[in-house]
Amino acid sequence: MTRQLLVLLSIGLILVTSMLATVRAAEEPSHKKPFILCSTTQLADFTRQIVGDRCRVSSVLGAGADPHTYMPTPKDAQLALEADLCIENGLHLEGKNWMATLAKDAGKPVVTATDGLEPIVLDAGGMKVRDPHAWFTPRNAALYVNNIVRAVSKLDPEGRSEYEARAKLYLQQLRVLDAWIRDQFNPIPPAQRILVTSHDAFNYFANEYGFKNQAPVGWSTGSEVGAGMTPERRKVVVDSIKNFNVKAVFVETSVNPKLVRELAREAGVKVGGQLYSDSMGPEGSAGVTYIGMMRENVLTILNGLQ
Amino acid sequence: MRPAFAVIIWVVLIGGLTVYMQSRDTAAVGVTYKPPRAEGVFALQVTTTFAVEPDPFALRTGQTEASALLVKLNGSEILRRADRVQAGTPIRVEPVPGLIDGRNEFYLEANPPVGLANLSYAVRVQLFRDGQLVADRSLWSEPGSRIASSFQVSVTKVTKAKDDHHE
Repeated sequence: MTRQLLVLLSIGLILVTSMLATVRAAEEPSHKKPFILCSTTQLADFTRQIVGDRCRVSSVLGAGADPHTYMPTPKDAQLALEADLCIENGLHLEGKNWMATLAKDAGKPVVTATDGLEPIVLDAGGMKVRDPHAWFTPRNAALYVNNIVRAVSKLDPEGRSEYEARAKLYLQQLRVLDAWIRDQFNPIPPAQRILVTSHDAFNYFANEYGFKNQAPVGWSTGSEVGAGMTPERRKVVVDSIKNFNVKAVFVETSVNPKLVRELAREAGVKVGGQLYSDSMGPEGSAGVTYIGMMRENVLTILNGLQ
Repeated sequence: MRPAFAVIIWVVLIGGLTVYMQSRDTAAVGVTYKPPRAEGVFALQVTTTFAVEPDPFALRTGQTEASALLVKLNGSEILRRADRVQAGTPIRVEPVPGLIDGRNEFYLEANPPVGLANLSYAVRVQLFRDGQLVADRSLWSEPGSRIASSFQVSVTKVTKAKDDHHE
């Protein structure tokens, strides 16, 4: 009888211990990482810098893709369904608002990284268009970072202090980047600071660092108001290159370089190199991060214009 | 009788185990040591060689807003300016709350204008005790970057001389 009692007690103890262990494991935070889906490579990089390994981050667009003309695929819709949070650039960078539509169709929250920004307003054939390429200054990138920190802290409140600590470090890196860019451009006389690129994506960059910006294609490569290339715009660019004695023009990684190469031949100037614009570089390239992309752009511009 | 006895032992064991598991993670209440506050009237004077401005690269979570000038003493904020302060304008904190006998750590952040990338900036920090200068430090930045630095100041305990003189 005593032996039976002992066996019974032992089984009971094992059962209770395993039940308690199960309860405790259930109380612990889930090991499933939150999944954040971003529209562009820049947004994905900002988000990765903030969340570290605490969340999974993916970008709908790959390196070299054009957000203005991108058409989402069934795979993107599947990713949106898996996502806990979607992040878009906004200001119609994502042509026909494809990121907001993906998130809405999947029933997922979407955060606009440019919220609170004072956008540059472009005159597009009598229509006013807000320029979406705001990430091109580290100061605006800081605003993106702050919006993303708030969004991920809301998604995962337990990780808030971690996100804020990483963001503080990254914001300091952006500050250093800004100071470095100013220092690098300092030797170029203001009169020679003319940046001719494929499409009108560098207005924020040009304003911040004292450049005059010219592009044969409007703010978008798509078919929106004020987008695309017009003969008038092309003529203005060629005249500017000749009048201001521009030394080089630049092609962009996400736009077909054919048009700028034609312009360079027509105006008799060299192609100074390729700039990262609406998307960053592929894995293994120097432009795979935002800071790397900006650094390489600055060096390409310097080499072209000096 | 025996099955009932077995159930009672079982319940006692389960109960004990549950109580132990629940109380295991409860943090032990620590005893905090409060060092004695430094005696005297202290004043802190901060003078920058540049105009301080709110930091466009600051973390803005809605709880903490961007500061132009921030001073912390032993981890507690004693001065925060969110507005623009002209270069050379002394900013004074008097009295200085939270100074203790022994070592005290000051942490200072000052944000210069973003456009001036090639200059180094400096801040002079002076600590007075009853009007007497007890510490004087200059903190410098790398060219173009803001000042974020800490330094320690030892405050010696005032030993009152015993009045042993009798008429």
